[in-house]
Amino acid sequence: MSVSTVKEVTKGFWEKNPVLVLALGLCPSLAVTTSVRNALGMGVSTIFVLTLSNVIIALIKGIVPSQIRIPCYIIVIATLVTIVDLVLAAYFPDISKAIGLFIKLIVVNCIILGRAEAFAAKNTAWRSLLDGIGMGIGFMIALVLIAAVREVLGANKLFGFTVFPGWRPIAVMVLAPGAFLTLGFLLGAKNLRMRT
Amino acid sequence: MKQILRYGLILLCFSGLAGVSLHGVNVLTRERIAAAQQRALTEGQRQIFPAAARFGEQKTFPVGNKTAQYFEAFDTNGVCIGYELLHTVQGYQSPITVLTAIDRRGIIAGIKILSQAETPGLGAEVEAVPASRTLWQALAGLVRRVPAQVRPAAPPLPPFQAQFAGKSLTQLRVVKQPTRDAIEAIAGATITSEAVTKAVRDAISNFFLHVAHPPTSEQSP
Amino acid sequence: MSFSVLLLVLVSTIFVNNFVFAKFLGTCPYLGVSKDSQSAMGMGLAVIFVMTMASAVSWAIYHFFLYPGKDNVLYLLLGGDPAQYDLRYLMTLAFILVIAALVQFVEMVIQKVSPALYAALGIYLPLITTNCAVLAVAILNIEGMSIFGVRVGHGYPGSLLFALANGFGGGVGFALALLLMAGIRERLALGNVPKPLQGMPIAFITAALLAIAFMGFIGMVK
Repeated sequence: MSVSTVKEVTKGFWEKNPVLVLALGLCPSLAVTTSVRNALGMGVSTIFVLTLSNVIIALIKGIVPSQIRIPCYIIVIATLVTIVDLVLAAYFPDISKAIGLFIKLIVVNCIILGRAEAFAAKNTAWRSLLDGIGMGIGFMIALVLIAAVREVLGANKLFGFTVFPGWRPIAVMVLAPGAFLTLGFLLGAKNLRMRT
Repeated sequence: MKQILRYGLILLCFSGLAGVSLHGVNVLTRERIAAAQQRALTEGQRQIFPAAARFGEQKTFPVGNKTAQYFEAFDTNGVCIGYELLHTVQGYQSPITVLTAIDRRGIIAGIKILSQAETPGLGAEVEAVPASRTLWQALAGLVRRVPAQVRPAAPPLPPFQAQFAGKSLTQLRVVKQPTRDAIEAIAGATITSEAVTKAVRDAISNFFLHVAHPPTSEQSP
Repeated sequence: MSFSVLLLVLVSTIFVNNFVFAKFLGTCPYLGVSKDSQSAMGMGLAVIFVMTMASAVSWAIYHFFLYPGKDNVLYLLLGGDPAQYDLRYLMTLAFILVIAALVQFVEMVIQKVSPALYAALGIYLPLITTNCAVLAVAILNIEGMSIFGVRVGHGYPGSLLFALANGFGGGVGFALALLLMAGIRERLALGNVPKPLQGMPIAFITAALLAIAFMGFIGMVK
């Protein structure tokens, strides 16, 4: 593997992280991050949809007229999302129960359409594949980071195990305000790091 | 005009392809989704009524103007030792489906919430299970390799649901202090706690009202 | 469905279950367009309009084409068992296409009928297609929920009325959240915010405080 190949994948992890740097896909990163388990479920689903949609869109970009490219992309994405939705309901009913609505909403996750427009429509299928995997993993990293903070502070748990025995958690961190607060401070921490 | 027709045709082709592939996935997953739901019910039935060896067919009884379901529970000799009642009520923001196991006198053997979508961190705590180990113990366990038989076979019932076991109809009221004679509400989720309790109470009282003389034992074929 | 339930749906979607603060829907446009109250107003009105329309249209699509019931068009045309026309798995695909088409259509109509309104709302309309709150409201209208102990949604009495109220209320709740946020951010721009927290981070922390305030409305349910 050449250096540029590796770079194509790893750029999404941190320096172009879709959530923490590009501020895309904020709804799911707030809504499903009540536990690390849900965050992983959402992350894997998004990686699947993003990678496949990137590849398919890079393959069909030649035959789709540019005036109707957005509806065509949306059809591709919605189809992939429905497949994930059905497969989760069949094989992982617990995860499907917990984040079901937000799986359907991957369709309007701006990361997917954003990468389709900004990358897949201009690059080869191979590079789009790498970009999709990288961006997807970056999204999952951000999700798991937020979820870990919220689950530890809000429920004193991680993967269902107690973290600090005897400590009473701050319940509001699992609720809606905790999501905004966590993301706000994470973005602040990232700004602090990037500046120095 | 010709241009618009061409665009329409391309979009139509895409939608058609999408529809066909989704139909395929739907056919492949349909039965598994139904089976997963059925399995959740059967596992719940066994978990809250361990004394029962098997369960009868699903039957219905009225609760107000709605219907609920019940199953007879049989021991190994085919004697009916109790019932399981399935009833859905409205919680704080979602329907809550509760399975209640009772013996023939109406004492609760156990309850299990089969589905709910209440607020995470508040109402959804009715399904929360406290951790059996701390993270550090678990990490240490990974290194030392805990033998398989030490791990519990099935996850324990959430404490909110476990407190229903052994209670009778008159004890099914919700209070906010720790208690043995009533149901203790989840802090910050009184409405969800009330709704679950109501599901159990309505199911039991209507069951004895409408299914007054249930069959005492099953006829062996 | 009684009038009082309809009113409760409105109260619930605007305040208690506000789309932005309680359900995190539409966060991207919420943070993107809440820098000044002028554009917040425009975006808010556009969302109210599109959400109400999308609720009506998506309900009709689901009820007459996807749901295997007595009103299914294929069943009415071809007869037989309605269950064989079950197309519910196409819901996500159908709804997002309907919303995209609807937004385009609304844009064209407004441009023709009222250039003044178009000047005010025009630039926000294309953004709405990717506002997940619109797709979410369409899906929630079908899946339904409990409102103050009453079950609403597709298959329950008055489901179309509920869909309209939910769409309109959801839009109003979104607009309210947007305006509140814009008002605060206009003042924040003048405030002395620590450097790393400037911009997005402080907007999120503000949203957290607003969300805490909105949690107070939970007490209205009893």
